[in-house]
Amino acid sequence: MSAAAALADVHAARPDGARPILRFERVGHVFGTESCPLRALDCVDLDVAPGEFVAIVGASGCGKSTLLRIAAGLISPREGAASFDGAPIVEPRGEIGVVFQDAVMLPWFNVIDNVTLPARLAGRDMSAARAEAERLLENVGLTGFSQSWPSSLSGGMRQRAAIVRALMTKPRVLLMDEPFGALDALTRERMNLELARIAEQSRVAVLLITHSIAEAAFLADRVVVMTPRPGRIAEEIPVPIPRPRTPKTLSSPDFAAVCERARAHFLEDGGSE
Amino acid sequence: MTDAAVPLAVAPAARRRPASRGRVRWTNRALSAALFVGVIGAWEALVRLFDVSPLMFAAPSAVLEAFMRGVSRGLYWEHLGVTVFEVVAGFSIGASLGFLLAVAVSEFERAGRLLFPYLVAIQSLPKVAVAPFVILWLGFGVESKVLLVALITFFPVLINAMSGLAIQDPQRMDLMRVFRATRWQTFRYVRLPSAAPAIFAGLNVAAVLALTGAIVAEFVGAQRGLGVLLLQAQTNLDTAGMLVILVMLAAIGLTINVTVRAVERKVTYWVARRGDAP
Ligand SMILES: Nc1ncnc2c1ncn2[C@@H]1O[C@H](COP(=O)(O)OP(=O)(O)O)[C@@H](O)[C@H]1O
Ligand SMILES: [Mg+2]
Repeated sequence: MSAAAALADVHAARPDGARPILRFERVGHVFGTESCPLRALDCVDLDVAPGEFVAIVGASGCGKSTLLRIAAGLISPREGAASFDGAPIVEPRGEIGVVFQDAVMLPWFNVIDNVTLPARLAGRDMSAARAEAERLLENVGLTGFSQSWPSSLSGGMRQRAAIVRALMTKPRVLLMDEPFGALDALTRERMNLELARIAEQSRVAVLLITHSIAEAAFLADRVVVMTPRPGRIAEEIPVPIPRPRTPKTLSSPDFAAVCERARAHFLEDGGSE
Repeated sequence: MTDAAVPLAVAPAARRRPASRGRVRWTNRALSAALFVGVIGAWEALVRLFDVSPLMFAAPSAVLEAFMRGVSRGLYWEHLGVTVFEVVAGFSIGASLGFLLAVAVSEFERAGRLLFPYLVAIQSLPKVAVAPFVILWLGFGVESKVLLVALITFFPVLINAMSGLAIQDPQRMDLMRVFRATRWQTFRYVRLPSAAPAIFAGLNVAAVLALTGAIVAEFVGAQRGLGVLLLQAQTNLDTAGMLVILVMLAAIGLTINVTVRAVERKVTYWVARRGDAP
């Protein structure tokens, strides 16, 4: 996939004029009361280009989830603005898909009904949606599980189903909040490869939040390091590794360099991670 | 790691041994049958052994005899029908209204906050105590019994449904918001199923109370019903006849309970229950 590699290089260079699909402009957010305010985000500027994969790493409580919820239209920021393709984000929209840390499968629906829930809620043609869902489930290795109950799936399988569900609305941006945080290390590596492949195939822009520097460096075109109190962007690290990403990526010197550069922020911080 | 893109292998379903499970079930049934026979036998033996006065208590054989006599006189069916009707009608009305009010209250949060203390206060009042009033207003007919049963079943369903609907899993709510679900869709696909176990807990309590309510209302003043029959038997010093009614009430109670639980299993099919296959 030389096109994707080229794309990654382009984003690394970030030429002016490329219209971002997702943009945060001086976004700040404060929780709590007037008397006891808690600043979660401070002056965050971030652009995500169409098809770009951006990973945010940062310690707990540095406002990553808040930033993602602002992008999802679930909360509106106190300061600044988030926009999708130039239009301000004021409420959730179909072009922006969200994958939460837990798969959030509804236990009273089987896999196919969970995955086609967006179509059902939007009143779309259910038989077409089912066919589409079956195809996507097959693509993530869940062939034959469409009639299973979520409780009978492993955590990794549930999270794949959640990704399929998010893709059902054909989003142009996929927001993922520590989607693999609850999975064991081996499943997690496998899911990383899977996600790299899905992102490369579908050309969806991804904003991924993670605790794992290695995961960020492996998947992303750009790693954004955030620091807490208040939540700020400390550094944006381009990842000059070609696509498709494979297990070999993990042993490339560029990968190690990106990891090291990101890790430096947490070491100088007294290892707050 | 090269096989990473290959779909995860399917874990073989845990193998069950149907033969052994079946045997366990039959052993359990045999044990409960033996226990039943033992209890009845002991009851019979104790009554005979201590020569208990028939005015105080009756042996199972005497109860059965009284039952056959009653059946041959066609004594029970009308009264049984009346009591069952009161229970079923009152339960249906009370439970439906309790559920609907809970939904209304949960949709309009402020109303809920205002009402809740009163509801809890009324909930802790023993509703059978208003039976005399209900009879006063509606008379000795079936209507007063239905009203009292409805009143008694209303509150446990209301309170349980309210607390079930009040719990809103923030993640599921976020999910529904992300998919821009309407209020009705969020209720239909998330809040109602989430609350279903709590609602059934209320229905189970209400089912037990419904029969109590019907009988107490019949005690206070009625023309027909098993409660009336029970009082008549007492007036006639017919202890065996009283025990027949008690056994019938136990059977009705059990039937209601089993029915509600069966419906619960059917409706909340996703809830794992003790004793279910893993
Ligand atoms: N709904 C909320 N109300 C009050 N404080 C919140 C809320 N959500 C998050 N916070 C606070 O804002 C800060 C950032 O939270 P969050 O965005 O969840 O961080 P992260 O995802 O990086 O761990 C934390 O200190 C957290 O306690
Ligand atoms: Mg978070």
